[in-house]
Amino acid sequence: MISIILKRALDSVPTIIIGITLTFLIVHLAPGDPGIRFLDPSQPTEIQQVIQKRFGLNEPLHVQYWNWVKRILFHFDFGNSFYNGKPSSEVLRSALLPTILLASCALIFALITGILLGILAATRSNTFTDRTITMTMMFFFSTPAFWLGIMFLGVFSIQLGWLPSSHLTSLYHDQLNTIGRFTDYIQHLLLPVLTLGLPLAATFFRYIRSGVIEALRSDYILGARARGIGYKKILFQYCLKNSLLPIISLLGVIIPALLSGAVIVEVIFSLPGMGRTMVTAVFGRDYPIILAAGTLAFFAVVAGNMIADITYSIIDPRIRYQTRKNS
Amino acid sequence: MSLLTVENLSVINSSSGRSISILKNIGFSLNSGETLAVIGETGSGKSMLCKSIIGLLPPGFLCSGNIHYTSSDNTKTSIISAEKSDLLNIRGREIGMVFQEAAASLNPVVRCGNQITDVLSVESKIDKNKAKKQARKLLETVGLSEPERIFHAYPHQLSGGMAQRVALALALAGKPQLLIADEPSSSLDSITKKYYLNLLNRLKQENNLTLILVTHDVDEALSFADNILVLYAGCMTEYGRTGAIKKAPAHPYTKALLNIARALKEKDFPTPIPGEISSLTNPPSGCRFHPRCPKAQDICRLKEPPSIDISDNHSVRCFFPAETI
Repeated sequence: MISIILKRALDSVPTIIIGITLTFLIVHLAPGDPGIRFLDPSQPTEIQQVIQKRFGLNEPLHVQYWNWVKRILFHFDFGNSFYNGKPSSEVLRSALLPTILLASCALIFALITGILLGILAATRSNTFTDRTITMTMMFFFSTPAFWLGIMFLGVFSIQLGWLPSSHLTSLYHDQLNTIGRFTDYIQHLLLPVLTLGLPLAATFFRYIRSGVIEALRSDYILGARARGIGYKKILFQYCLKNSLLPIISLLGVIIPALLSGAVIVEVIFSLPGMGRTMVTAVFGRDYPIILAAGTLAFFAVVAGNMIADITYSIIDPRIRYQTRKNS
Repeated sequence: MSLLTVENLSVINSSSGRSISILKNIGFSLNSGETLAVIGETGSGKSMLCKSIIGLLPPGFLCSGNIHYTSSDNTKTSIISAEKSDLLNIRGREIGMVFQEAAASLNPVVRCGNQITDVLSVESKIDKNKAKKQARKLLETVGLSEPERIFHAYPHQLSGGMAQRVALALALAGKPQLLIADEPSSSLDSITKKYYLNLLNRLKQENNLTLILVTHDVDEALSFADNILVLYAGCMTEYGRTGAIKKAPAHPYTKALLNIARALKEKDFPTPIPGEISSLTNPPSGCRFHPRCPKAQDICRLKEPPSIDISDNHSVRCFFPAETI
């Protein structure tokens, strides 16, 4: 197993190098200049040049790239934000916390809802229950997050006034006791989690429903039934384990995407997460932040896929066998 | 004592919107300790008969008639009208089944040993270590020389013969009275096949099992079974004691099958039965075998043949059974 992990880690090195190089090039080749943001365009070019020199933007592109790589490799320094001067790592750290909170809650909600409803629909396939659940899930699957988020805001925050419309905490959050703070978090997170989690739950639901239906028709389930194994055990141990395999592959893609920030949801609900930080940085051409966030996203994608592959091979011994044979 | 009695069993597949007759008026009885061989070509309904007996027909398949099973505690159960919980008690513990594709009938993501302990723990809350010990013993009983390795192996790591024996161990784990073996040796090479059939015979004697052996191999059926049931396109063509059928097959289809088996045994080129097995979706009128029957006459095309008792425990469904032709 360790050799498989090491092999996969080594395999992913070129992916990361190519990925961050492309990010660097795209960011620097995109029109717009961070220096202009600080200056009136009518200011003399000498002043603009001073600003560019301060940020190291006057150097040729390959020198800038090499300097950037050197800083990361030898000092693990992604540079400071052009705007507030804070180190990129600090900016990202503060943005990562709300994102992790939102992403993990949405993922847990989506997994539980998707799996349970998937099993329920599969065991009652082609009945009224199945059709109702499937149609509801298809609605959430095909609904864009910006529309769903705005609808939730309109109904639950504005019309009914039940839940707060923005931010992660209330203004008086620090004055609350532990239970109060917890409730405050839940109230603020509920709508963003639903906006992000429902389409995800619908995706998981589709895989689980078809997986369980396929498993229930398979020979090994027929075999288990012929041996007198109870229905619950067949469903939750025999069927589910086999139906979870595509979900694991899917998680390898979804988790990095969630960690890179759910841009639309964070913007709608004014959550200070990775997505919003990234969007602000891109609009402001804040190169260090964009590059640091991009590198983090690449690492997340590679790590997510690697973890998915390893988990897949743990659950499905046939994959492990194949991997061993190939390596 | 009759362990299993099947009366007028008919199975209809209505899942596609129209009714397709899969099995028609099947009837036989099987005494405790006996072996019944079910023979016939592919598509004759042999596997469906097995699934009907164990109550595992696919959704959309409707069963009529009667299947009476006498449990080890002498209670009689009608498999067709039994409650789900009763069937759950019968499957595995009273009636075991080995499937045609043994490897496919094993859960691909669970170790073989754990699949056996799962079956062992169905009946009672058996101690884990005791269950593991029993599972290893079962693997040994079915002739696996490395029970420890097989216990920890996944199904894809086994050869066809090993998978077949693991499936047999699983079927025997619940200590059933009746074992249904659905073409257990069809995917095995000739040496493994012979070994497997000997093993089945030995286990049958040791455990006083009653056996339903579904096979394509007529020779295997003749040398192994006490009774033979011949199926053709879902219809029972002949049923009787092996000796009687071997000596004087009454149905032209049985006769043709026996001739093929004899030719194969003598390493001669067998004369195939002309034509192909009738389609179940659009069966011919009258006797389903008539398009291929050398003795077919007008009545065979018009009417379904009645069941004629040739002797005690030997019946045939034909207008012109052998002795009258």
